Amino acid sequence: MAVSPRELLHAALHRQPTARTPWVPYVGCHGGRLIGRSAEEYLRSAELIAYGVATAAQRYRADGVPVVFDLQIEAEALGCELAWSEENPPAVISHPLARGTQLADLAVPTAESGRLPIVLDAIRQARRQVGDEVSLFGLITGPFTLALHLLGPDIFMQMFDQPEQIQALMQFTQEVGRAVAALYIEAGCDVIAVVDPMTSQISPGHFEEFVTAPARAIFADLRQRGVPGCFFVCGDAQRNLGKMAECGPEAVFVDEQIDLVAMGEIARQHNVAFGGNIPLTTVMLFGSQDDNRRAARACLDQGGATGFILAPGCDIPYAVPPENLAAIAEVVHGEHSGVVAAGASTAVEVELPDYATLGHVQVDIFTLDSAACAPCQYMVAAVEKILPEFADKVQWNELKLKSPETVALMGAVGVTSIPSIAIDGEVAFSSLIPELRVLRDAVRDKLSAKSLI
Amino acid sequence: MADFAAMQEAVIKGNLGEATRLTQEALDGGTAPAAIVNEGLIPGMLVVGERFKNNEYYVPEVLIAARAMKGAMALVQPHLKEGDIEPLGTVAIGTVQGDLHDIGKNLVAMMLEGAGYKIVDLGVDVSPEKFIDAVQSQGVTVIALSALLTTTMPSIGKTIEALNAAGLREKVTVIIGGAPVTEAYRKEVGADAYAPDAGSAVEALKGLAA
Repeated sequence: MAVSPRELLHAALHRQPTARTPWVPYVGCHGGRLIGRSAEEYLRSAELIAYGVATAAQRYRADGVPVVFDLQIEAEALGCELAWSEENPPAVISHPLARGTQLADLAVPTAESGRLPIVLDAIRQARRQVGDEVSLFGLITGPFTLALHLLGPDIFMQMFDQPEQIQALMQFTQEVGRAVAALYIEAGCDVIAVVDPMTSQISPGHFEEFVTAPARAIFADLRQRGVPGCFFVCGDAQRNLGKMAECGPEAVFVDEQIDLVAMGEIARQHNVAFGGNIPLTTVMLFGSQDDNRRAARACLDQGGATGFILAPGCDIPYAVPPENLAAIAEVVHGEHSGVVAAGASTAVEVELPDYATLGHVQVDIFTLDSAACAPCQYMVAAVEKILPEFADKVQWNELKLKSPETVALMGAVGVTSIPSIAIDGEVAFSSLIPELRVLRDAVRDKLSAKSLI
Repeated sequence: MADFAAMQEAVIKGNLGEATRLTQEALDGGTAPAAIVNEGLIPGMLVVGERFKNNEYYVPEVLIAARAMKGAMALVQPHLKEGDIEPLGTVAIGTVQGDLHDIGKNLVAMMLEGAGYKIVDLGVDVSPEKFIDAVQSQGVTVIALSALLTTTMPSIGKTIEALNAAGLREKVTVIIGGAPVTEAYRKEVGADAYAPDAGSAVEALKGLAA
């Protein structure tokens, strides 16, 4: 029996092997772009949202799509004022709890609050249009991000000054999250994502103190309803990823600032699925179709075959060319065999130099392309910064993962993450950009081992 | 002799009460106001910047450290004489036209202030004309531009073009940052420095001055 896209996605969320990796393009305000409407018109109309979601699901051959990607829905329903724009989701511009409103005055939103009637109607219409074969993600604002919307940046200091008050606020935002998730499920969503980007700005200690309990309550509730819950974060949340996985989600989704290989390790340790992380700006917005195919391929290779879902780093920017997303879909559906990336079977043979006999130390930086991948760019910059002091005793190369030769070389050296630095054929730094001092010392060690200094 | 190490520690830990108490004691004991700033408060804030850069500190830790620093500075300020503290420069900072996000911008302002820069905060949605006016009327030496959105990022380029057109570009250092901004974009628009986060903003400016 054929497996539907939705079944495929749910299998991956439950860490079961799948015939191919499922793909969830986060179409938010970009849905407006797809049907020729502004972000504001789009996010204020159930008909337009449903039409945008159905169009995206079909055109991008998605296994799942979010119905609305707008982290201001709950905030607006709770009294935050919004500033709207043509090509972005709205921004919160006032924080009721910083303006005299008391927490006790706030009530958990209902199906009638703010734009919730629009979102709920959009979910029902989208479900009718896409049928049961495609997953619909309901995105709720994570408890910490919602607390920040309600209180404003003062929350950061109050975490130190009045922790009990922040805990009470988090208890409330958790109740809001559960209530809104229940409404979205009832309307027809079969996956819920808790989107909490602001947690990337706090330490693991603060995460545990303020976020863990509310997030656990939300995910426990979802589990009871039999609906998979995902934890989305945007930003450099590296140190909190384990804490996120411990909150009991079915999957953790990250953006391009997180190394997918490292994320995969954490996911396996905690028995959760994971997803991500095609770069939004450099690749999806400004890159070519080939750039998008390559980035998708790289993510698929890094994510592995089990328990991984391909997705953009975060909400797809409004103006991303639809051809770029269609190009990613080709890779997902195995129609673009010309794309080269790690793991692809190529017949190219490479021979590594005999590093011991080289009259210099060879530094190789393996990148996707330093102009289009921020971590790659920093890694190249780090090398460029320290090398002049060694003059011709050190030679370096940026090896872009764009040709079969480079891929073969990467395999021969044993590089598993991009970007990486190999010194004289040995992987020295993998995915994390070394401090200059550490990098300098590593090069010096090699030089002195060869008696070049 | 004032306890500079304890003063640094109070800033690093973001302990406002302790930072102001030690500062007041030092002032009462006759410690030179400039020494309090240069040997007690600023070195503490530099450690905070370093820790933020190394992911040991996060936004909340930086904010309470900056608050402790500010509280202590408010006590020292009236006692400082002209020339006591070498001004590093005056920074006009703002989120560019069309962009309403202020958290990142505020953080950079606090870090720069902690490192010893004078800050002129122009707020959010700042037009190129406002930046030009700040350069002309407030002795600004550095322009710091922030954009959170891919759609407002082009306002960075427009602001730099406006500085060029007004003949002011050579007079100021331009540093840029924000989620979508990259080193490649810095080159494209001709800014002097790009900082991926608030901690490196201080370092980037100092690097240019060196």
